[in-house]
Amino acid sequence: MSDNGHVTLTIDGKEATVPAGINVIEAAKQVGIEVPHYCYHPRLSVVGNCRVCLCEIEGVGQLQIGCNTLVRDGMVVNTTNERVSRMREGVMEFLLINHPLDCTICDQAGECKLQDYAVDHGSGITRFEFDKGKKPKNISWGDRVVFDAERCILCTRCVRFLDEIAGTDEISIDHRGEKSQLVVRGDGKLTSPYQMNIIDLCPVGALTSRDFRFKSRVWFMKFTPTIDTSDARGCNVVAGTRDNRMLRMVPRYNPNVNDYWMSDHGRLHYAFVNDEDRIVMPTAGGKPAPYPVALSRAQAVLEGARDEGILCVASSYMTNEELFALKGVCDALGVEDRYFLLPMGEGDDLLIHPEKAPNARGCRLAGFRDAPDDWSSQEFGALLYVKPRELIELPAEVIERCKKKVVFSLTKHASDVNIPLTTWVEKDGTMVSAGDRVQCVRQGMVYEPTLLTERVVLDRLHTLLDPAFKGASTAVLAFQRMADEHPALDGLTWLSVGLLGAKLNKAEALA
Amino acid sequence: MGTRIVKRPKLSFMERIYLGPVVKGLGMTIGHFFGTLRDVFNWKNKKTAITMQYPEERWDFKDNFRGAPALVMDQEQRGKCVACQICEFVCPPKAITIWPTEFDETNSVEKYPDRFEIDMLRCIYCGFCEEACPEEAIFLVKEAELVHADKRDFIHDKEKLYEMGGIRNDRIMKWKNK
Repeated sequence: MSDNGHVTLTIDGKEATVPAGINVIEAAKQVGIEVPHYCYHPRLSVVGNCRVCLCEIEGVGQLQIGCNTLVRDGMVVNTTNERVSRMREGVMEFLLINHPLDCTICDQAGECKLQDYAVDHGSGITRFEFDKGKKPKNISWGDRVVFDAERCILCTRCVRFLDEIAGTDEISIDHRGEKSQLVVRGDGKLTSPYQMNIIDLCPVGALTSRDFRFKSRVWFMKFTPTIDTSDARGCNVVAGTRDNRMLRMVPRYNPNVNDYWMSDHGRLHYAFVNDEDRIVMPTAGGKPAPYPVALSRAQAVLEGARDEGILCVASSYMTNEELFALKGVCDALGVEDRYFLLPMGEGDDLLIHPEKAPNARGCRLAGFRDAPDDWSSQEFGALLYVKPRELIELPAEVIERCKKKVVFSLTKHASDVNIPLTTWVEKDGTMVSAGDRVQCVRQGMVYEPTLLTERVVLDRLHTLLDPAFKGASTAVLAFQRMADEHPALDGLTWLSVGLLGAKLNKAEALA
Repeated sequence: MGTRIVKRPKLSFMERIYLGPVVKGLGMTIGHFFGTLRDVFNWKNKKTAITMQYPEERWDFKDNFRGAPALVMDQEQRGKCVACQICEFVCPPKAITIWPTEFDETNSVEKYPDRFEIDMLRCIYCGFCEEACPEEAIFLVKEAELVHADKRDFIHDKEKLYEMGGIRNDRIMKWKNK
């Protein structure tokens, strides 16, 4: 072994120095060589049953599987030579023997490893002349996962995930040989709150999502790296959209937050984005009004109520930029009572966080206080209210105690000025997740071209209240302005936050 | 560049006065005139008729003619399209739009088009959809005369497409044996 626990080996003629103790697949990945694999996953135990990662190790007689071969100093590995590619061709032919010609109706088509490797490593023909094996298809494993036994290649990734990561151990392999088939214990329905991760893990189309099934082919979709906003964990996700409608979320690798996984709750938390009832135009006095009209009405309402006091209630679903824009409006109006609403729920040790909103820490950072359990019976001249999603609402009696109301909401809300909200996939911004991590959300769609994001609306309102104020033109500039102002964000830039997020550099606790 | 001297042909007297060829050409023209006149009066004779009596008479297209795309059914009246959306993907002018939906759990096909629309104002009759279709469900049929008073009628929906396509026998009947 060479120094610092590193070893040097040769892969396809390339010299590589990699940490000791990793396997050949990972070592090859580090030098940019992809060794095909189905059953191997970096976070799951190694079983070596798909046999497609076979590599030639010089000095060892037979071909060895890359997933279960640890690197040694001076090892010489061949992953592409004649012998290996002939073996891989054979393995692919075996895997495809009983595979149905289902690609036309299979949801995995386009992101299917079996398709990819059949093209990259397969021979293109089959010598199998007999009837293919028949197994049950379209089996419902509860209301989230659909199983197709014919497409399954028995890699057991799903079995290992539920056993080792989710800890519920619900799937096992029944029968033997050609008749082997996955079964769910008990009544055949999965119960784990992380069960939909097996859909992403499945390298073929055996496990598909009930929610996403047949909604769109993946090659039509646009994918945007963003975060999950169902709770304070802020799991990194890729949001899939088509024709400006949100279709699915899948986890994105981030070793500091969610690894490769996310909870089902977060994954299915997007229905309100596509809600047909969403408002797309502000209303002033119950009548539709363009933004300038609605904003000057809001200005009149808020300035008129300045003497009687204004209550400002933010939402913990807003981005930091929006919260700082709201803070600017509050400062311009001299608002004292600034609160935010935070829905709470159940949490667990893995990924589900008890705070059911993504940005409570950002609210605290912008100087908003936690909403009190018992609101005082104080009367206000006006209410400036950003309505959170359906999980929590401002008590009706508090709203009634305010004479005039300016409400930001997704769906129609009785008020003097009602301004449409946008959801997190429709804007750029940052949020502060659990562990005081600043993470970016990115725009992946436009619900309606006329909609303005809250940051722009609030900045315009601020300009109406204080003509000297000039808002930032983009979220990136707004973040930069915020970072210059606030010591907790000092030194952070949009690029340093990037895809994986960055920690706040400060001591004060926001949790 | 060098100069090459071309020797002019020596014309005879008859050639020099032109009259002979003029008379010869005129004769040919008059001959054609009377020949055509005869065919026009004799238009019912299929052998000699020059003009096709459209729309009573129509051209018989070859089998590989590329007319309007249409969906077909197999001999058991099952719509063959499984809504794989490859034609939608391959269509260069983006004329095809498909909204897939699910069968109930007892049907082995699982998937079929809920709505299938081809915008014939966009279609360029290239035949890529027919070529790409893995289920042999879409064909360019001989229908080539699309005339509508309303532009919306040019968007062919699923019913119209199946009506145009009719039935084509399937040798394999893949889904029946699933």
